[in-house]
Amino acid sequence: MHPTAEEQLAGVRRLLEAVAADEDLSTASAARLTDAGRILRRLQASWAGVAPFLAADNDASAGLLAQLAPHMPVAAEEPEPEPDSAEDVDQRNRRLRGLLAETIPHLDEDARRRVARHLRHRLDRDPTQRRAPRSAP
Amino acid sequence: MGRTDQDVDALLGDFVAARVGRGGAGTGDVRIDGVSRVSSGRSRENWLFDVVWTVEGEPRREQREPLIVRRDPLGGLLETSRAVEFAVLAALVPTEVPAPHPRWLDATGDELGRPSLVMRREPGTCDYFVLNGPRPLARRVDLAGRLCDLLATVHGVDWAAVGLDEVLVDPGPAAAIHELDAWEEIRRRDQLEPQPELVLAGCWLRDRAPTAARTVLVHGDFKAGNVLLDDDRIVALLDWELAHLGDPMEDLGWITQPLRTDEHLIPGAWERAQLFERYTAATGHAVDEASVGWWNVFATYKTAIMQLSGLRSFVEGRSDELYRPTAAVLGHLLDTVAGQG
Repeated sequence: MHPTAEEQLAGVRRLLEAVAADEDLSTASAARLTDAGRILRRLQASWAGVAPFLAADNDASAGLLAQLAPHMPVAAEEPEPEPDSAEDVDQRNRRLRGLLAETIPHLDEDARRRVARHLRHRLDRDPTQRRAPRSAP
Repeated sequence: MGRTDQDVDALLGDFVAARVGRGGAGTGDVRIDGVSRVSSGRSRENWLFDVVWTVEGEPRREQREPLIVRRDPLGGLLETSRAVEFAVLAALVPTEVPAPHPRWLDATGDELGRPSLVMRREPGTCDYFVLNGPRPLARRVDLAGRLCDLLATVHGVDWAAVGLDEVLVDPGPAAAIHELDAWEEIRRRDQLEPQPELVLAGCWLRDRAPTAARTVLVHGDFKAGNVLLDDDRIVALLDWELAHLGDPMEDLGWITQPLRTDEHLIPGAWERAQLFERYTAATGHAVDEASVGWWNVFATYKTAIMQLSGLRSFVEGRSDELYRPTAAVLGHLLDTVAGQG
């Protein structure tokens, strides 16, 4: 459905770039516009991938936590279907990462290495960590 | 966000006038001149200005002193104490360390809006990447050697003799655990959500923490970007907000951290081996390379936590700049824990 979020973000960036081209702009204001443009560029490049990324990470994290259950200081989560709303997916991701953080101090070296590989895999797929192309509209 | 130049101008005028009048017997008119904010410095607001006054009875004898004020921002990467930084600078005055000369302190921010310290301003510029800049290689290597000597001078300060033990805690041989505890506390305070990557790195560091062979004054953020250079002459070592007593290997670990080698080392000409050799010659103390390796990882861990603090500041509207733990920083920590770093 148009305008998509991406199209609206692109529109805001165009507006900011038009203001940034004003020669009378103070150095401080120009720096703030650069910061704003950077944030929008990153958001534009990543927002669409966040929800599927978090849903996939929830699956992987729940699977890992199930394997680590004997070491966990609290009971592992019962398997649950992935929520429908993006907000609930985000909440679940936060909860699972919290459980993982609580569990880590109780793990032996091998298990910690396994967690490190899991988190490295997550990092490599995190769309918000990808460098946004500067030329994106 | 923050005050305008005019606000700071007025606050500084009153602040300085009270002190010059109080401290300098026989002073007449006092004014400040040329207040301007400099963009360098990621954790403090730095404002340059001159204080100008006349000596009573000698109207033509105008005195001028160039100064810089370091003021806490509303938020950012670090929350440190201006009072402690001021005390460290004051203690360093009689030493050979070329630190800025402290002038006045507003520890509470009652007068300057936020906690601030005023220092004498020296000539020169800071360049984070001077060691890999356009200067000829021989000059860059020479400068790298003198920066190493400067670090040795900092580590050679007789900190008890200058009273630094009254301001800073001596953690003794447990310096690594002491620092790890301090930064874990900052992580817990500033994280907005669980950070299993940093919990993992913290556990890895705790299991392997080295003991310190001696206690020295650690600068905590030693880098070319904090050294004021006038051409090739080292004028001053700046930015003492992270200074503490601890393990000398900490500063060596900071300047050899793998993610920032372009600031500290020169490929093929000034590598870890040359740095450690020069440091050993300058201090008379051998470098414990295993310990430096631990402090390398700690440097990345500390960077990630500063980025977390920056993220909180942004989210809470206290900072315009969006920081967050980067993929490079987190990836390095995770690879280390996984045994691939």
